[in-house]
Amino acid sequence: MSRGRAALAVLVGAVLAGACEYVVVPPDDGAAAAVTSEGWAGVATAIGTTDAGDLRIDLAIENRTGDWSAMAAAEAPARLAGGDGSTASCDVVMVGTGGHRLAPGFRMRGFTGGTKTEPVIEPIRVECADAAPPPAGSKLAIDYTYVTGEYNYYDPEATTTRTTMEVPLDELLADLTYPVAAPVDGLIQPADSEITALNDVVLQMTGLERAGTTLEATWQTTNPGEYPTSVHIGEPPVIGSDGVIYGFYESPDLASVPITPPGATAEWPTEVDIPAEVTGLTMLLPVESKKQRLFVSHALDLGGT
Amino acid sequence: MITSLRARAVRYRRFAPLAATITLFCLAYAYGAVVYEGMRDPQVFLNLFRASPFLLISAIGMTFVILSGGIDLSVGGVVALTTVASAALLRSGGMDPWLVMALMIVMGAVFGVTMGFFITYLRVQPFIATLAGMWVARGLSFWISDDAIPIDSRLYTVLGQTKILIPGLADPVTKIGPFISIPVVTELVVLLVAIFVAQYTRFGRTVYAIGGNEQSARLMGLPVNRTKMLVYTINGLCSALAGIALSVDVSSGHGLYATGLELTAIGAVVIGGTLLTGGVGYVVGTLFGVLIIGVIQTLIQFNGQLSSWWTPIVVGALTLAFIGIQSALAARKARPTAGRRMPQPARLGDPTLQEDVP
Repeated sequence: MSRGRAALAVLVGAVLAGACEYVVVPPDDGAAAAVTSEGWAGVATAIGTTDAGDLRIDLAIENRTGDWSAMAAAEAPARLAGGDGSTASCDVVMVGTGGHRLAPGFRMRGFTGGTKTEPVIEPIRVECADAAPPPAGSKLAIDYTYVTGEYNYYDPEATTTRTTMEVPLDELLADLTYPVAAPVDGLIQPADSEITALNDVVLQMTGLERAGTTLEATWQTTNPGEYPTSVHIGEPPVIGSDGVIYGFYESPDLASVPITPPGATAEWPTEVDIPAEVTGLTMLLPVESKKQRLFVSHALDLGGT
Repeated sequence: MITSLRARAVRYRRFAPLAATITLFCLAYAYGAVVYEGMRDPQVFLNLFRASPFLLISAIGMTFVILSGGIDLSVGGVVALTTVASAALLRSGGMDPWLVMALMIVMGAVFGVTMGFFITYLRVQPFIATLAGMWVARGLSFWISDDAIPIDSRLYTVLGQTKILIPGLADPVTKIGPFISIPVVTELVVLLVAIFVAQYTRFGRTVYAIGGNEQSARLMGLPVNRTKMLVYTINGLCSALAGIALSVDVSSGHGLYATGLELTAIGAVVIGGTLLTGGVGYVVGTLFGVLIIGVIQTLIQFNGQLSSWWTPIVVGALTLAFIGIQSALAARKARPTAGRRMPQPARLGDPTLQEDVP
């Protein structure tokens, strides 16, 4: 190799080496986000009978996925296996989060079902027609699916896992605390936290008012960018110290939000119905972040409100 | 003096549409910079390149097609098909992303060869052949998937989200400052290659010759058929590359992506000064055509009050204006051959002829 070519090679190498510091590669979130999941766990809180005389088992479920997660029972009967070898099929399986994502380490015992216009609070339960009270050593098996992490509108089932929950029925845990079963450091944020959303827009709850059974939150977005942007948060649900998620679920991109002009702010309210006596509220807030229709969940401490 | 100026004007008249496009872009951007402080940010200018690399790449392919006197309406369909096929292969097949990209480029080229075959050898009108191609490509997209398919590939994330900071404007320590992305580098490389091919190769000159007059090109012994096949192949390849750029940008594939992209690309080419009749135009003009569309969108966004539909309205009006100007220039060019008077012998002492005497 001639001296000129060698010098040229060194020069090109130096330029490329210098140029490397001008290249910013995105972090590999996928590798760091691997979390061991134990799925969802369930415990029986009460066993009784329905008005029709069927066996009714009330449950509490706990998110042990290590991430935000929504779960729902499969469209199949639950199986009751008695300690004496008997079996029964339970056709009413009202087990799930009602579509909402629950924070890791949280526990719940009810959600808002029915329809949007006529919501109904559904206790988490299983009903077994014509079944006798379960003898000692009985177990309830419930097939269910759960999703974890961020909610991607374009691929809502990307993280779906199908598995079975086994609930021992020997011990009834009626005096559980809700909604936190296993605290996670830094998970629950103050209500007025500034949350960075889509396009670096800053979202903040600026007002919270409770009148009767209505809890109204006022939201403000501040857009530091140069383009108008809107940040969807849906109608955020709330879970109380009674373990029930209040707020009918619908995809968070459906609720309309105002456009935040560049360099300006926008405000809008959201509402959720909660019985007046329920306290210890935590808001389960989905915030459109990173890219359009990708929602990252946040837990906001609303206190006694 | 006047003769010299006139001769120079005649010599550079072919640059008039290109000059008009560049002037229009500069004026529009200057207006924005004066009215909106934010538009003085270098990042806003760089965003014109970042916003739609897929448009520039597909418009470059379209430029070759239009220069050759043809048209290609299958561009948007091929772009959408590329996004969906890439996403499907990455998801269900778990295929290596480099292999997927290579397959997509081959697919685009094969699509272009097919279009070229029908147009060149079966004498199908380019409009009809590529219209059918568009339907086929769109249909295939929805056959693969009705819904959007997300792309979860580290390579696509790196290609789409890596920032290349601009030396002198950005701080390499804090990694903050104006930047471009890898698709921008890709589109600029494609642009430079296209300029070289169009201006400095035999193939490029043949494309111009075919667009100017295909019959004359045949009589001159130029490889017309082979060149037309190559033109549509290049366009198919550019469409696939544009599809890859789009899927990298949005990290997903969908049959509804790039709807109407072919018409926007044609608009950009025409605004860039390329004659729809073929034979006249420059690839660099297409760059400014795309930039003008970008600056219109930017102005509308900075305004904040106007509907985004003003973009197609303005682009449509500009396209009409440029086609009008082109037609007027073409008519003016054609006039001497149609109605030229027979040359008369010069009369001595005629003052009106003095300036024309060299």
